[in-house]
Amino acid sequence: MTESTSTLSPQIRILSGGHPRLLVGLGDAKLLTLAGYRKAGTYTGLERAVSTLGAEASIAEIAAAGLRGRGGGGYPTADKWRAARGAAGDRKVVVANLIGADPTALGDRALAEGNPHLILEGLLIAAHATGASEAIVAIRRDWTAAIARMRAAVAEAEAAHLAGYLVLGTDFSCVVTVFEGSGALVAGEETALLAALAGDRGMPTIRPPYPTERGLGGNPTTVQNGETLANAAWILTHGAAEFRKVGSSASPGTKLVSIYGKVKRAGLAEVALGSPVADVVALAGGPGKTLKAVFVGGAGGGALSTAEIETPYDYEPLHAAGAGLGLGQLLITDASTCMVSSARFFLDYSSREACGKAVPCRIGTKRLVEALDRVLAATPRPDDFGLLRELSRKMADTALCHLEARAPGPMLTTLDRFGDEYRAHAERGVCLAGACRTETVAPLLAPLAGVGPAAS
Amino acid sequence: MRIPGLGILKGMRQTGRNFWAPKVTRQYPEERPQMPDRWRGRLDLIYDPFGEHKCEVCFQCAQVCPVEAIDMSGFDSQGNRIRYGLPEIYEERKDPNAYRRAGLPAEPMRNVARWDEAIDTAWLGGVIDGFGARPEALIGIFSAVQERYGYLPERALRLISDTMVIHWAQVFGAAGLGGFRLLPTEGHLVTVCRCAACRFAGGDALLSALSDELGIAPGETSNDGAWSLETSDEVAAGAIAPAIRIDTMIYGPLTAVQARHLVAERRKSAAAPARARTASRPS
Amino acid sequence: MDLLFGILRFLLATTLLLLMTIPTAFVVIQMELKVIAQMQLRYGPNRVGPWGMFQSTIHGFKFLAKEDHIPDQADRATFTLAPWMVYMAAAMSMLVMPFAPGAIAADFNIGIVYFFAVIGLSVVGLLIAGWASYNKYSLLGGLRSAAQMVSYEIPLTLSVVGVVVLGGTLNFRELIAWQQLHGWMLIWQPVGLGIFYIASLAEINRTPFDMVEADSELVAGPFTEYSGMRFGFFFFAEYVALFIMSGVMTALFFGGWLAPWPFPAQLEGFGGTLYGLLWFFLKSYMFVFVAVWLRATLPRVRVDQLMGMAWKVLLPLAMLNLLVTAGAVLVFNL
Repeated sequence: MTESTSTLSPQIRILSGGHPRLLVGLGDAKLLTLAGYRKAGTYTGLERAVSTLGAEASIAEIAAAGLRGRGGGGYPTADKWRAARGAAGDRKVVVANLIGADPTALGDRALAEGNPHLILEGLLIAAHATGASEAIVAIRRDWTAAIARMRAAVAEAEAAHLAGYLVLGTDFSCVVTVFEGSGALVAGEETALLAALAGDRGMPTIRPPYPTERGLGGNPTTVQNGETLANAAWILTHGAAEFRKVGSSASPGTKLVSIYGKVKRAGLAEVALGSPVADVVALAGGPGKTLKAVFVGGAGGGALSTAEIETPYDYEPLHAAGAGLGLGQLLITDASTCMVSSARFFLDYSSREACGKAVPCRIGTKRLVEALDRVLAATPRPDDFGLLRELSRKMADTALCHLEARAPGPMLTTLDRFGDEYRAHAERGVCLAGACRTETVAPLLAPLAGVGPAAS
Repeated sequence: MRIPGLGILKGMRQTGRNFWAPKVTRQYPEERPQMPDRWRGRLDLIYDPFGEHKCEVCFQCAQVCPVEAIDMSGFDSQGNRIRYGLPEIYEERKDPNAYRRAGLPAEPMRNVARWDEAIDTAWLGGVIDGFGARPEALIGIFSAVQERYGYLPERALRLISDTMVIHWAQVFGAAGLGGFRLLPTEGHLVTVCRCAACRFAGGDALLSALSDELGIAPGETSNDGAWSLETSDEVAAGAIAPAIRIDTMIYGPLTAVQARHLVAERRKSAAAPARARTASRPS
Repeated sequence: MDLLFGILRFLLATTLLLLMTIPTAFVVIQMELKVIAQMQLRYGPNRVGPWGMFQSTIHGFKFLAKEDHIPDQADRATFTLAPWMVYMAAAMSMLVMPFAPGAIAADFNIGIVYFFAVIGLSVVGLLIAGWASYNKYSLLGGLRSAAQMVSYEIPLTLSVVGVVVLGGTLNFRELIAWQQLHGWMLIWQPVGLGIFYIASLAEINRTPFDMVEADSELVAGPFTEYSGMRFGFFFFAEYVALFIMSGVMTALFFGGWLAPWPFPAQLEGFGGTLYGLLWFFLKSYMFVFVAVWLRATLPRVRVDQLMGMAWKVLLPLAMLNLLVTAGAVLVFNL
């Protein structure tokens, strides 16, 4: 089907290539109806889980498949479900996290708009496995199409006894409700999402206690990313062995990636975990020879230079390189991009999106941005480079949530790999990429005047 | 071998170096520190629906201050001017609210959130009931209110707080995080996306082009009150970066020239754009 | 006629000197405020006047404006006398300081002896300040400070004896003339210079030897009960004494009003006086700067370390220096 008949919003362009699994048939209007969805052979996963396998065996299947959370953390899904299942409490909840906190990540939006039943099926499987009687789908309020379609899908499923009371004739009951969530970056963090669902300001709380132990209303709550749930549904339908056929041994399966920046065609693709980052970049028709760095993982990720371009796109290798998976964002930059101002951009974004609860995050991100501004204006303080590293370390050590710990990632990785650009800016006020005009940066520094050489 | 006096010379070398080094003092009040957006360290009077500081000039704060650091003046309900503190050392607070409460003429405000704006309480009650008054639905209720009024009026928030029995501070806090507006915008709102995808696709050029076209900086409203410009992280442009949003419609991908042309066209046409929620491509 | 002229000249000189002490104190205090601040990576006072120039002047007026309080049972006469004595010790010692050729207030033949004798009066001032306050802690502070000053006077004067032996005169002017012929005294008496500098810092209670007035030790030592202008006197006296000691060191070891090598050492007439004044002040203030620099750098010395250094290190060193100097003079017929 062409783009014009796709059910997806124009913001989502699906690239060809990679290993489509979840993206198969996405955009086809047939998938939106229950009948069409069943014709594609699904809800068999839920039937299998509820009728044949039972809760424990479902978790075992997920464990065998080695599914890991796709929200960026990579926590083994089976462990999470097992913890929730074993926790004390009679009103357990599962939450599908479709907040899509970073607006550049298209994966969750594509699934929510194009195949809501897939996510719903995964959600029900999770509810059944953890023993939850209530399921909540939290969708970002901007995705009005997704919200409407998900509500329709829930209604259809309830009518067909696939959700609601006495699912498929068993004594498993799960009431599904769809709620809107705010679009802030922090709203996608699981404890912040739970706080928002309680009608409170969406700010993270400290963990432990983890939500699987005590979450919404004090009940054990499993918060799972939408893509993870879709994968769970896929596993229960096709089997764990089939799932493991694609991907690395530590992280089997696929990941939805959103590639943007200096590429020929920006958009959404699905790749096997463990493929080299270079291959992922090639899906978007990359910049080719002029590739400079790839920012993997958004504002909480990091930059890989061309030397590391063969790093496997997987949780541990990227983490070791100082980056992260994030929500599957990949920003491609070429020789005309200044690394220093890119780092400043990401830190500024983190600073603006800070909820304000944790002091090192609220103030630290601001101070890091100020330090980078001083570097860009060629008036650094003598200890600025030390400050950048030390403050980042402090933020990481004392972080309340992972957003705070990872916020300095882009800056630190570019400082490690493109230190000469930083030094050129700081010492000579010269942008090696030729992108920054110092006169546009200088007005920012007007209130910081007086940081220059001593004027007694 | 320890040479006596060498340590002293080393110390003097360090202080001597410091003599010529750039100093770290911040010259307050000429240079103020840049505080983060959600800073909690500065006491600030909160705003009333007029957009002004809420101060009754009740002198409680001045009277209770143990070091007598507060001076103020204002008008009481009879219109008499009253003072607390040494008259020689303070400047009279020409607060429009104080004037208004005393019935004296005050300057008109630019961006008025109408105090007595009628909120359709029946409709709002219906919305809340539709969600079953569940606290999870708070964001959804906010969305509905913002869609209807263009912002979150304080009366609506109070009503939500009363009806759903959620503490006012909690409601106010939830409304502060997540892209909701607490004051109405004037005229048509042009939002330029500044997410990573748009910024690296040339969003800065878009912003400066539109700023130039409308003649205002981001965050400002044009003099005739017909157009406002802002930037936002949450336009959610995705693959159509760089994008802008005019009122509710998203346009992308745009070059700077196309964006200028688009906004110029909109300005010329008298009718407001259709309130469609879906994105569309520029013609 | 000559007598009248002499008396008038003397009166003029003493008036000028007395008038000069306060501005000197202001300048030295201002210097201390700004220089220490700059060394501590801050700006120091920069609001009062351009670059904060008038800060110390305002300090002076502040002292005048403060309440003048005498403790109930203090001995009023000695309480009032003490600051005057300390201040006068400083002012009187300026009589013999060689500012410039033809600009010495009193050109005594025993100028050096007079100088050290008068400087010693400040010890008495501090002692009676401590005693008259009717405060045991002030008394202790006064005794401690007296002990410190007295013990450092000995190496101080002994190091100067070496200079005198070499120069063959107790007159400041003639010493400077000797230095013009033979080169500055610092190359002849380097050890003496070191001892003199350290002892002089201790004599005027400068860091690192300022146990006397260390705020964390005995509040303000013997000055605890003093307020207003009385304290102002002590305060200014200390800074004037700093200038004086620097001046004397310049005169004794660094050629006084003589200009260093590339410049002509001395000029004639009124111009010569001005020229000498310039160089004298330049050199003196340089040593004041070094003293302030030391204050910014060093922590305080403990009182037992203080006394130990005077008696166990400086005194033997000074005596050794004197022995060697005297021996050299004898042997080489200098």
